[in-house]
Amino acid sequence: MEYTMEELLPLVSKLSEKYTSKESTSITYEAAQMLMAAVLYCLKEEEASPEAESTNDITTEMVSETQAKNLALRYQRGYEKVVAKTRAAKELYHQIIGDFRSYGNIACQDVMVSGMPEFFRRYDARFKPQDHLLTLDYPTLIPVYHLCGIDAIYQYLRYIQLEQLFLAKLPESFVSNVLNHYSISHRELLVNVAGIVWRAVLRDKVVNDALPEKSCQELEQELTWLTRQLVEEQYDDREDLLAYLSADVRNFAVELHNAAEHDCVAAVFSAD
Amino acid sequence: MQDKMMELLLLEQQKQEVQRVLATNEKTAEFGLTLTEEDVRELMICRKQTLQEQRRVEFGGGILPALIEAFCDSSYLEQHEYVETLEALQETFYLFKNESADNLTDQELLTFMREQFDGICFGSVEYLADTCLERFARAIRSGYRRYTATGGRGEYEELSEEKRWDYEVYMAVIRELFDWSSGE
Repeated sequence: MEYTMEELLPLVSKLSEKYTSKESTSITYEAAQMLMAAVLYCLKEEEASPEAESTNDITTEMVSETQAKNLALRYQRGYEKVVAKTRAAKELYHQIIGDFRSYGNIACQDVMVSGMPEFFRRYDARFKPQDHLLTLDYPTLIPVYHLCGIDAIYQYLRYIQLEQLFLAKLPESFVSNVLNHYSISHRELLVNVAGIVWRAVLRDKVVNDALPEKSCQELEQELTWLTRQLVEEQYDDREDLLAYLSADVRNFAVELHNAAEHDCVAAVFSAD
Repeated sequence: MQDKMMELLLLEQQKQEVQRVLATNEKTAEFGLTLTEEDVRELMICRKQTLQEQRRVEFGGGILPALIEAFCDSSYLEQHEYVETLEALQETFYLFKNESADNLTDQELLTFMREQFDGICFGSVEYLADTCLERFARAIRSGYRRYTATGGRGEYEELSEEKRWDYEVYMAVIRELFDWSSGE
């Protein structure tokens, strides 16, 4: 939904009063931009919820004064949703961190063990909900770059939870061997651990004499089917895990196809 | 986006602000200071320029009524240069909101400005900006925070770098001039 500057300014003005504790009549452009982004973030958060639709219907029939009140109400609801999501993310984090294993990956360890507690300490849902503070150096299989604020953190944590679920079912020695085979310096690399291990799990089933004859599309279908089978058998058919692991299917298929064409399949499973 | 936000804000504020500033005439008249509607509009234009120069946005009421309230009983304000002085003070105010990295509240800054303006500046806005506020803002940027307890009162003593004509200095010079000590 689009808002005009005239609609948004009263909200930014109110937020500015809170920001300065009514002790300053003016703020810098940068602060005003930050507060405007905060208002838009909360409104967007509210829009994303099912109740927002019914509010929209009412809005079209209302006079402008009521619309302004309505927008303020929607902003407030959006803000409450941001706070609730932050609480949910914190709970999710505590669920993950109990049995968390970084498998030696320094970036993953840093983000989850050092970064996240700092995020929850410093995240400002009122004035900077759009700022997720962390650079999230450890890459997930599905990037969260298009998201910001608590949306990015919540989604990121959900992906990490799925990775932990996937890796926890495998023997630690197996994971360790796969990573060592991938690269002797795998600890320092900004790579996704679950993706490397998932590829290694499928390796024996997909790498065979028939590989060079398969098209990219055929490989993609085969990998999708194999992943589904794996999730069905080992992970109670969890759709979210299947969707997450499947995000790398196309890349894996293309890499395998190219590697088979150039007779260097081993390189797909090793960075060294 | 910034420009549109600024334009809209200023347009809306200007309507109410003129009346609010004119209302201060009631109080300032007893000190022989009044503003016409034209003066207020000139001050509004000046405010707009300063805010743009200082890259600041002002929501709600502007600082002008508070500025007038803080300075109107100063003996250094004269009717014939009232508007010019207010323009200069307004400009200085916004400049040092930025220079203090927004650490000072409006009231703390106004208190400090007024105290120095009447004190060691003897009504010179230039000295106030270039020396007193410059030093105060520099100290604040370096982490000085005592003003939060004093509200901006009595802050300059510590920051002043010049030896002034306080009682002891005055007496020392008198003694030297008249050679009192040798006469004892």
